[in-house]
Amino acid sequence: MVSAMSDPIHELTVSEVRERLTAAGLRIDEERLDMVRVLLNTALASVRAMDTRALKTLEPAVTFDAGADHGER
Amino acid sequence: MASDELHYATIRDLGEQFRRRTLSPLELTEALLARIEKLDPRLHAFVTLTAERARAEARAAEETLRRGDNASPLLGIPVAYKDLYATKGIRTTAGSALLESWIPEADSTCVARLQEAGCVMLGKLITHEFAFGIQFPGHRFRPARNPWNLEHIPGGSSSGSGAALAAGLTVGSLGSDTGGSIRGPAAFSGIAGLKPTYGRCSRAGVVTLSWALDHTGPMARSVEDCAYLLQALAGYDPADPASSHVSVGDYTVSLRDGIRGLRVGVPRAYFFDGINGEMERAFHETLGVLRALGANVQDVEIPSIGAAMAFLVIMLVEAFAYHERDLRERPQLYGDVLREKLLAGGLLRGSEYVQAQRLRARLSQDMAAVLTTVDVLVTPTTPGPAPSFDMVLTPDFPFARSNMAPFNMTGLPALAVPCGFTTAGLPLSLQIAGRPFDEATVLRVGHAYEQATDWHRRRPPV
Repeated sequence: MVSAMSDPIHELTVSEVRERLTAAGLRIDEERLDMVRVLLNTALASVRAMDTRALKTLEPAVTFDAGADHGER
Repeated sequence: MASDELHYATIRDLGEQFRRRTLSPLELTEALLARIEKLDPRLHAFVTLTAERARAEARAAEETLRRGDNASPLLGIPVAYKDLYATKGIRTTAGSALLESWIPEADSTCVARLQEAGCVMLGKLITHEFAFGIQFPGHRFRPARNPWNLEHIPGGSSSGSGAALAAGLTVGSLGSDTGGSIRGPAAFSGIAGLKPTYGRCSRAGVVTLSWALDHTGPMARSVEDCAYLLQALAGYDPADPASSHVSVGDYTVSLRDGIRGLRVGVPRAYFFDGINGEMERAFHETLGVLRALGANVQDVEIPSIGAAMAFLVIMLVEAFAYHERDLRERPQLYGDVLREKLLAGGLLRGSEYVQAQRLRARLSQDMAAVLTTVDVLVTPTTPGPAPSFDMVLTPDFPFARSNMAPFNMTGLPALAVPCGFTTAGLPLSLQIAGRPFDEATVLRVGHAYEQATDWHRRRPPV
């Protein structure tokens, strides 16, 4: 199951954002670091809320169109 | 036809007038060009106006009509394209200084299909820079303004499309939608916008934001007009790797079949978090209209809906991948805040991207399961009306949780239609989503709702 969003989730800190910038070879103005931190935490909240070991779906692709064999327009 | 009626006429009405010879495509084109000249200095919807080309195409449409050898319902219909769509020989900026001098050598597939169907091109409409998000500070072009209140945004990223349609400057338009950029402007501008199923309409020749999430689709003032535009746009395109071979239905023939007995699901979790009170009231009145039309409205549960905002991980990583080289070599050509948001995608880890894609697959499975119990899902398109420029033009304005992104994650078709107004006069919107490639049902629900209400007939005070 995807766990509830209310689980305690580790949020990135500004210093962790700096570490990631260094690792990626990127630079962001100091005054914008907190904005980027908030954006990353918004993006990562649901990823961090899940127990990846319990998620049985392994294939990331959307496949509803797989094997469709209809005529062209 | 009175001037205001002409500017807001539907595709079907205009086609009937063309064929009765009570109006010509050139007369209509001239009327719209005059209105653009009068209103666009305040609205800033257009980046490029192609007036002479429009007149030439309108004359050609008149000649075709005179010969009586073209049955296309779009013949002579004026449209304008989001400036993210490549247009042969016409500057295509994607709202960016990086592309301010780009003159494409070929039309994008969607533009080519509308032109082949006989549309008259009025020009190119402003987009937020590279179709990313809501209006940011540092944007190089003047932002489009909302015709319902010039101090408010018209939505984004297809901001010019929303503003131009609401103000009666064009009959149809194209938007692109990665996390809501067709439906958001439709909602905030009081018009209709359809994000078709992933793979239904080609993305070839449209500047990429996120390969996994990008969709193209029509925007118009009515659901029926969206159906006419979709009919010309839909279908396999070998130039788009995600394009589908699934056959194209007839999107206009079933519009009037009504929705008696249709099962309408209302997912209560997630979509009502932080909802504006006026939006909530309008939505519940909307459910009453759907019931009165004979629909069976029931609550449904999507177990993994809380994972929907993982879409941001996918979008940020893919946008960074697309822009990385320019971000490293020519960062000064990006708007300040957009640049930093794009750079954020370079800070996400490979494992985080993969887990987001796994959540996407899980959400798709759950949505598919729910859509075996109901025919469509309905939600508020946005939690509230258009925010003001004062609110969004602060660098720290947050990336809001989106009611639209779940349908980019799952690729399902989703339509925005007006469903009310706030006491301050700003539009509110209903979102209708359906099964893969079942645009016909989604459009049928939207059309039935429009016929029972008059929200889409209201005009802004421009």
